Amino acid sequence: MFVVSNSLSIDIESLQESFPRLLPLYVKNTSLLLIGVCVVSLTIGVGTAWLVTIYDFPFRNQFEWILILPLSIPTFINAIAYVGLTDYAGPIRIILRWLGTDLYIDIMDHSGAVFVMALVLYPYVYVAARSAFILQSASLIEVSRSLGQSMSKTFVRICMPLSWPIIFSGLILVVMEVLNDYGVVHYFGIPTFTTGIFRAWLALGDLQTAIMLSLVVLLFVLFLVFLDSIIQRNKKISNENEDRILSRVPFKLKWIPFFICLLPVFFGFIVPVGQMIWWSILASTIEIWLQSIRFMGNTSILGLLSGTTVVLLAIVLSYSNRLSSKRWYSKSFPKLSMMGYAMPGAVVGIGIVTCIVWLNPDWIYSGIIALVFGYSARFFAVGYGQTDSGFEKIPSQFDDAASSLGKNSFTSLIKIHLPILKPVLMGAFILVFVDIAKELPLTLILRPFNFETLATNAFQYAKDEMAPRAASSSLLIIFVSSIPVYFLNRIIK
Amino acid sequence: MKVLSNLLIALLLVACAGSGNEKTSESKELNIYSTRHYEADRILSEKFTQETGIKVNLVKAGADELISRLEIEGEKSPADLLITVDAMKLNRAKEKGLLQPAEANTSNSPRFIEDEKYWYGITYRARVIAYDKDDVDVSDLSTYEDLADEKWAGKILIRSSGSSYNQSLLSSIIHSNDREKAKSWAEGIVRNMAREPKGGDRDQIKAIASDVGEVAIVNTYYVGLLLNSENEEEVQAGKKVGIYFPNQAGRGGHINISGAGVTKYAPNKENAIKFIEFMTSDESQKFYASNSYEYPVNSNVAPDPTIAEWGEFKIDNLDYAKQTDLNQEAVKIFEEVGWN
Repeated sequence: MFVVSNSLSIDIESLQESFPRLLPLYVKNTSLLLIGVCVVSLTIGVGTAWLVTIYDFPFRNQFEWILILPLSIPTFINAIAYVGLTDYAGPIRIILRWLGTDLYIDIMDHSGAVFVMALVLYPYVYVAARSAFILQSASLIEVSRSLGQSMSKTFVRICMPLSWPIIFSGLILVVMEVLNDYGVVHYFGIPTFTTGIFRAWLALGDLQTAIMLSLVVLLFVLFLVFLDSIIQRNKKISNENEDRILSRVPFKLKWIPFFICLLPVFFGFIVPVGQMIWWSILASTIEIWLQSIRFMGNTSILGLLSGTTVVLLAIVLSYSNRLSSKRWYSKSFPKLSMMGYAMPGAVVGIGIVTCIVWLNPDWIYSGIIALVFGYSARFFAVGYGQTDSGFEKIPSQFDDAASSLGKNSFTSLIKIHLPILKPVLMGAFILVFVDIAKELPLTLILRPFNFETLATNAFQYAKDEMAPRAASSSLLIIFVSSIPVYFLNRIIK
Repeated sequence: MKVLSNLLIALLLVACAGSGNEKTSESKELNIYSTRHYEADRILSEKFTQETGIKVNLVKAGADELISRLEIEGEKSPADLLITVDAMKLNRAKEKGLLQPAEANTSNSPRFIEDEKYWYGITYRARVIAYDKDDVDVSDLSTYEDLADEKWAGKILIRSSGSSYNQSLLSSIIHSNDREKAKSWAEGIVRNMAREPKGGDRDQIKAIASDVGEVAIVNTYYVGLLLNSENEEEVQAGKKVGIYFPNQAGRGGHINISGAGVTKYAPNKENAIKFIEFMTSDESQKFYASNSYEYPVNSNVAPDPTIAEWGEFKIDNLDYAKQTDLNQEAVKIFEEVGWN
């Protein structure tokens, strides 16, 4: 929010003539990417969530959490892994040449970008869809089936419409990640709003165009927030009898769902991790590993501190919302902080430097405060969305009962709301933690002297086209984020 | 929300107070904002600390971000030294009043010291033509300008215009020709491209190895890395290309210079100068030459055998970099001709 107001405070007078010329290009490329990634993420996310929730098949229990794992891979790292896999010196081509043939594979285009991004972003949709399907009372599904509806009809007519609000909130996170991505589109040479904002602001020093481009993105985010508020308003909260356990339907050909679920995990996790392991065997020494492990501590501390900050802020905001008016704009207003999430990180970073210098310049040099502040501003939307929808699920009668027993609102927050919300809050915390472990541009500009995280260490090599040396840190990013991802699944249960 | 976040910051400040008081001993520290992030730099700066007892504090980020940060911080900036991999960026910092002249005792050849001593070169890389040894007759190659000729249709590989190396190259072409000619050059290159501009410099060379194109414009540094890669296949890819230094009969080959400038409000100016002197000393320059496949700026030191093999070459002067607005012109031309 600070960032937005900072950049808006400059008045918009003369626009470069390049703005109208480039806008259609950015709109076209960005929408192609958005549509592609959304369609693929929805298909994978909803499809696999449906399978693991409704059916029974081999390793179903394991798939529940394994399907989230790709989330731990930063999009840019996934991109270089796939380029490394398919380029001249990559294993596929080596094997092909060994077989006496060769084939030029080019992954660096629009569909390649959609592919590498969707494969690591679909878990946002998956997590949302699965928690939605679980929430739907089993009875609804059983009634529908007992009325002779087939499973697919039940899915289309009952489950999807009921789950759509929750799935949509997961999809919004995917949209934001695509909007703020700089690494992949820059590497693949695809001009989008992000690269346009970078170019206008940093290379051309043309603040006007940068602001106009940002405004277009912000308007789009505003539209999404509005759309979200409409969708969430129509949400029919299920009757929450979570005790009933859905009897899972055995799938006739039990290995079919197994392989369907294996596909995204294979391409979104096993393949890039495999490539990384191969690279680390090629390039990593013990020393590189020891160094990376040291950086893992920094990453973890940042994630813990900032995750906690975001969750605390989100609790305060959601709860004060709950206590005050219930109008849609008061609820949607904090969601505007999504704008910070949709902007490229470097732009947010410079905005935050401005803001910190304005507040108190000494802070930025005295440890990691600036970073915690920056992360909290950037990822607030991620934590808030989760927390707020969690609060909404608590019936207001609870509040009334507490106040009739003479408890003030603070006591009831501590004694009633927070215990109920524990899983939701943990989930919010974990999503923020994983995002922070993967974050780069903000970290680069806001970190104190001599401070490395796994991400900064991995990307400095990756950017300098020494991908193999980035492998050990990348693997540790994936490892650090995988642990919370594992717990995330247990929480949804 | 603001009040709350302020409160939170205050709390965190208390929590971090222990680690925050390191700024007091002024003379034994040096704060660097750098865009260079190489192993060689790290080792050298450790050696600097050993020899002088001066602790080096480092923040690494992109040049534009660091310059913005210096601008915003103003007088309160803790930075003593700004290091970038592009002379134009240093000149831009100078124009914005972020640097100050400094008297360092170096053996740099004069072309690698800014006219008014606002910055000193540390290393440089040449932006050259890499060609497919099998398919390209070297005698067909001559200048950057010639690559816009029809005979190269469908053969040229180059990365996107977001790369500062390409922005610098086009700036130098504007400088030595004029805007119109530079624009038609860029148009010609776009017409001749073997594929959409994408990937990094190494990817261009691998694309030659894959027979996607025949000539690529790349930095020598990346060819050096490729030839010394851990992956044998990358070495093979590197060996498939020959290196050609263009414009030898004319203004010389284009180079990118890494340099360091003392910041305007440097709290430890003396240490910053010592650091520049250390990095450009014969010993450090030899170390750079053999570890980062860059060319030394110190006239007493010869380049590494890997890159020396490509031969000596005439370098273009850095006059283009003095006109910092050329970079913006270049970016606009890229946009006009549709060079992504």
